Amino acid sequence: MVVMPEPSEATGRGGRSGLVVSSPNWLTTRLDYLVNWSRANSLWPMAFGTACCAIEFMATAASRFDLSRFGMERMAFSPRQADVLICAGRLPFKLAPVIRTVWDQMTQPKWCISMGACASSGGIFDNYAMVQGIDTVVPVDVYVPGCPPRPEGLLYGILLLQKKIKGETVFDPALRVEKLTDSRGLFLEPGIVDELSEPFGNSVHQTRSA
Amino acid sequence: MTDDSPNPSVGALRVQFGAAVRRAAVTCGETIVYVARERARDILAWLKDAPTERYDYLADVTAVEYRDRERPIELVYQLWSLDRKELLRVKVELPQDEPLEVDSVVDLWQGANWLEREVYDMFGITFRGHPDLRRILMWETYSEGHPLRKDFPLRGRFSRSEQVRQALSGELDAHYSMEELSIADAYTTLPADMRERLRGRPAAQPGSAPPRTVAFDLFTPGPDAAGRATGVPLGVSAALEDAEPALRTDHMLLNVGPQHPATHGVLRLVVELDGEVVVRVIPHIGYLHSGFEKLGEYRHYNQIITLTDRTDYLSAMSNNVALALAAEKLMGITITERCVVLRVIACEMSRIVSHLVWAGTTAIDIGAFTVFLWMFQERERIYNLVEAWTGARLTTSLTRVGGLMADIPEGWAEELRRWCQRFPKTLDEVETMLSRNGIWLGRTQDVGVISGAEAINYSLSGPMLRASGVAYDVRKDRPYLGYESYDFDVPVGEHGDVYDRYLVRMEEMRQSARIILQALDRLPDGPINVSDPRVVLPPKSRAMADMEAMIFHFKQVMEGVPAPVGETYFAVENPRGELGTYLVSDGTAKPVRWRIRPPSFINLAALPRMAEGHLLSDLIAINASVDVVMGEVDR
Ligand code: SF4
Repeated sequence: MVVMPEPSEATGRGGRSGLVVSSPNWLTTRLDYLVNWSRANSLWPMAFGTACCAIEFMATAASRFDLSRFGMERMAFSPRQADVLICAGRLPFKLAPVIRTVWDQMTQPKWCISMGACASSGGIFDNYAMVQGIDTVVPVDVYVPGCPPRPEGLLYGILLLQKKIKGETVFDPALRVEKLTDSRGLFLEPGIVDELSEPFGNSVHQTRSA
Repeated sequence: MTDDSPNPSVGALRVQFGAAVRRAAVTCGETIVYVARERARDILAWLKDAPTERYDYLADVTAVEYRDRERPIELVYQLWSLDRKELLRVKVELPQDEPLEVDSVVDLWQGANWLEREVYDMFGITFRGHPDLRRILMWETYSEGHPLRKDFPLRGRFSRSEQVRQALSGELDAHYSMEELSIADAYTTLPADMRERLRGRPAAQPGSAPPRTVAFDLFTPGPDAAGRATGVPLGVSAALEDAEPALRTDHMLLNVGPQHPATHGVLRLVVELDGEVVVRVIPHIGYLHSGFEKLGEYRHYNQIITLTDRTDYLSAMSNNVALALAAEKLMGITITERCVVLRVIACEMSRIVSHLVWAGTTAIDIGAFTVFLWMFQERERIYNLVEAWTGARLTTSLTRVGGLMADIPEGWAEELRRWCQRFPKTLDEVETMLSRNGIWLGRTQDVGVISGAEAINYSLSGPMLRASGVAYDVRKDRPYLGYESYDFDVPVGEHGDVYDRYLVRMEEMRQSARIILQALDRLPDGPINVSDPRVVLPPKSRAMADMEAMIFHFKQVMEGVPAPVGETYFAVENPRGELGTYLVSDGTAKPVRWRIRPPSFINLAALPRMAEGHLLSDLIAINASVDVVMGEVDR
């Protein structure tokens, strides 16, 4: 878990190294540009493939779609050498501590792509076994919809992530602070988790068994 | 249900066990015997061994709870006789107001081990005498109850946030068993013959002098005239331990997975190692448990088809077919000629698609990357065909009860024919690379051997069973979809090792292409759906214009297609083995129980037996050869 110092209330600036957040100038924007350019184009994926979506992830990495065009061919199956966690597939409760551990083991800077309906929202599995969206367990940068998303969809998601990275700045100490609601607990407030996973629309009737 | 024309075994059982055989019934042409709980184990043992019965293959163990909570919970054993080709379902009724207990049959069939654990986990039925009765799909300290019980709500008992919190704050012993936590002493307590087997050679005769030197066998393996590897093993000979007793070290516990590239999904193996030799493997599964079977009880039959895509996602189309066939058998629907042939094509396409992934990923595990790229190239070609037909690459939802979601598009058949003629060339290329490749032979031959008799005892099916020399293929033994009228061979191995499994799967792909070509030749014209408007949706254009069609449309969408009271167990030969669909209906449009007989779950249960005594790197090859799909293992 990343423990970054909170930006102090009074000044809105902070940082262990005494970095002063000032308005961007030519030097900082050039440096940002360089850093972001290199980060965005050599994202090493941590393929957290669990279910059907992982097969499409494999297809994305294989000959036809060729993930290496985006600087991502180096599959890091070790979280310590990865930049972007791609959760491809459903996340049951039994697996929730695993993805959390993997996420905690990844070093900063790190990003997360939630691939597919299950990872993003629980998908068709609104039942006792399934986490209703991995964003209750890890923070997500890009959601790729689909069941499963086509490889093109995943590639588009990756491009969006690159775009997002290119808009970041290394001078914002608060950028990667993760706030948990308690020490080993949820990423979101319990009330929000319950509200987000409440059934709506047609699915309200889907709990009737006969 | 009637008692007419039951399986002759029922009469024999009555003679043998008298009143312990409570009653018998026939539903959908299948015989069910209800037996007394106290004698259940004896009756099963007799059915297994009696020379006139020989139900030697335990296909499945599961349980059913009815929506009417007054009715007893039924424990269901599906038996199959490999010689006599006869199916028998044995049921034990467990009244709800008594403790749910029954004798375990693990000593009869090793295959029952995980199946009984699953029933325990999902229903809370205790099996007396089971060697390791722990939860298997949910974690050990799961506190919400037994999910498949009818009083268990679909979304679980706790709120979502509470569920997440409990899952995240998992205790260590929720994920390890106590046995594993104290594993280090286990080796010394093993019987001597097992220790010898684990060391891979007969023990030195007492009194003979230990070898002086440490021998290194560093031959590069290569094929002999018969295609078997010579020159293995590559590495340090086992004489090391005797030569240097001081090198004897403690055992080590190694955790592989659940997030590991070589476990083919979220499988977790806790491995006890003596040096590099695997002493014990304890698989932990359930990391992808998605509650399919529970969800199925809340869905119409046609909606379940969408779920079947996602259980075994490598062969979605044949899963769709399996469910549709079972539901049609339950409802007594006869599908059209064209639909039958198209479903055969779908099944064989998914067999190829699935084996392609298997070959690619297994080759990666053993160190050959190129095969992965070649196989995925072929897969993309077949994806294009699948997509043109169903609109999806992976999650096809191809079938409907009574038909298909769409007919094949114009020109599609010719494309498929061309692909089938061309594609075996890729297989040739792969076989050129692998089949007589020294490293491949060294890594796969005589690794993970399981004998035919043992494979049957473990209830293995599909290529796993056939590689051990047992020619059980549902397509031949209980033909469905007119498979008896196709000309194809069932490849059978003789050594039961990883290499034979590889050969069997490669040959199965060729045979599938052969079946597809025959099917394309005989593809008749005509409708793909039955004409019954209560079963098959009218076309949308008619539903908008015609009152009657609109009513049927509305009723089907809102109420589903009801199935008569009854039950059926319908098996198809999936790429991974016998995929059984067990449907129990109480007359409504949603099944009381939708049970998948998961071939890769049952095959995986034999992994410890196959891997123990091999090197750690062989464990990866053996695990790959089982061809697990975790979506199906965990459901
Ligand atoms: S989103 Fe769909 S394809 Fe992806 S894991 Fe979930 S069910 Fe499977």
